Amino acid sequence: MPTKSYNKAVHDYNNRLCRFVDKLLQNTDAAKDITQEAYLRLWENRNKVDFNKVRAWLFTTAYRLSIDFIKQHKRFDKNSEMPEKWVHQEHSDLKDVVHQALQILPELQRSIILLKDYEGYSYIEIGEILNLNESQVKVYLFRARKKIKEYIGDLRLVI
Amino acid sequence: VKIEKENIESFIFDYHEGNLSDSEKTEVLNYIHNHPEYEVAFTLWAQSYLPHESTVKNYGLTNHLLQTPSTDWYNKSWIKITAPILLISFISFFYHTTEESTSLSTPHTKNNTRKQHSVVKTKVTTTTELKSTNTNKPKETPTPIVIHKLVDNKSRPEINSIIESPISSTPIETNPTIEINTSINIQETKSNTSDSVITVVNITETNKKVDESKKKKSYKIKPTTDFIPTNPNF
Repeated sequence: MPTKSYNKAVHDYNNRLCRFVDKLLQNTDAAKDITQEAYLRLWENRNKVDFNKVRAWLFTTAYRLSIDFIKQHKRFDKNSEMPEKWVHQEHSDLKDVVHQALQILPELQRSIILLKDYEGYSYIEIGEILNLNESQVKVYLFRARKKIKEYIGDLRLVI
Repeated sequence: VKIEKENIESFIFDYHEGNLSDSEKTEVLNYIHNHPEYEVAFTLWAQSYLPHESTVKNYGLTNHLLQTPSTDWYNKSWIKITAPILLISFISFFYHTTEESTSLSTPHTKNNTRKQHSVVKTKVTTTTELKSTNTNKPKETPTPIVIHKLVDNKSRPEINSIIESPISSTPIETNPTIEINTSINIQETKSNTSDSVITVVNITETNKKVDESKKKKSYKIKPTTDFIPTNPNF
């Protein structure tokens, strides 16, 4: 992959990639670091990476780096429920509610939601990025949406 | 698959995901119309999607991530191909030029090909300076003589005789009129392309007129020990 193609990948995907990691980690600084690390790895492997699959390659790398980051920092206990402040704060906008509901999802389900809703990937493409098959992606997506749906429904009852 | 209470959520999910055909979509909508308790669930499923963002936030990383194109010029394929070709061409040309300069006088056969000789290795790479006097020889410029040796050892005496001939045939101190300094430089070059050995014999003769005073002195005849005088007036 020549420098021109690499730079095109920077222009096309760097903000999308950073948003994906930002939404996944809820940490903008870490998202920037991981995005830069992903592009650094792309530059180092530019002769091996197929430019036609550079987008998937970047998201895969960023996802793996994000998972490593989560494992290192363990922001929340796996068995914990959503933070209390989210339950008691006022939700005036459905957009905010959905974004907050996103945080109660496991990393894998959250990644699938982000890749599907923000990036518009198909089940197969998501499976390639996250190393899952199509059926697994569909099952995880169903579970994720169901959790978000229940979260929104619970909040409606509270409000 | 018939829509039932157990699988209605799955159908609603597929409906919003766009996985159903038009007829299946109609079936789902009819089922919800007939079972209004699922209307809220149908709406909540629709709200479980992340809202579409028309513009992506700029994180300001673009300038940090861009690379300058000059750093990978060596990766271009045309340079990878042409560089070795140019290098080989240059070496070939240089080698050819060197070979031509060493074998300018190499004789050619009738087919305009050089004579092929086998290699004869001799250690005659010495420079011999001979000091001799010759009255009749005029002053000459150095003349290179190129001798192509044959492989056969039979030819060696001939060559040696050629090489040695100027030395042996030159009369030493016969006439002191002109002093000729003859230097024979014998060089052998082994050709890499053909198995021939090129022997170049440079004979350098420096004729030097002896000063008049020396000339007069040289004409003085000194009697030898076995000289017997015949002239009574001597």
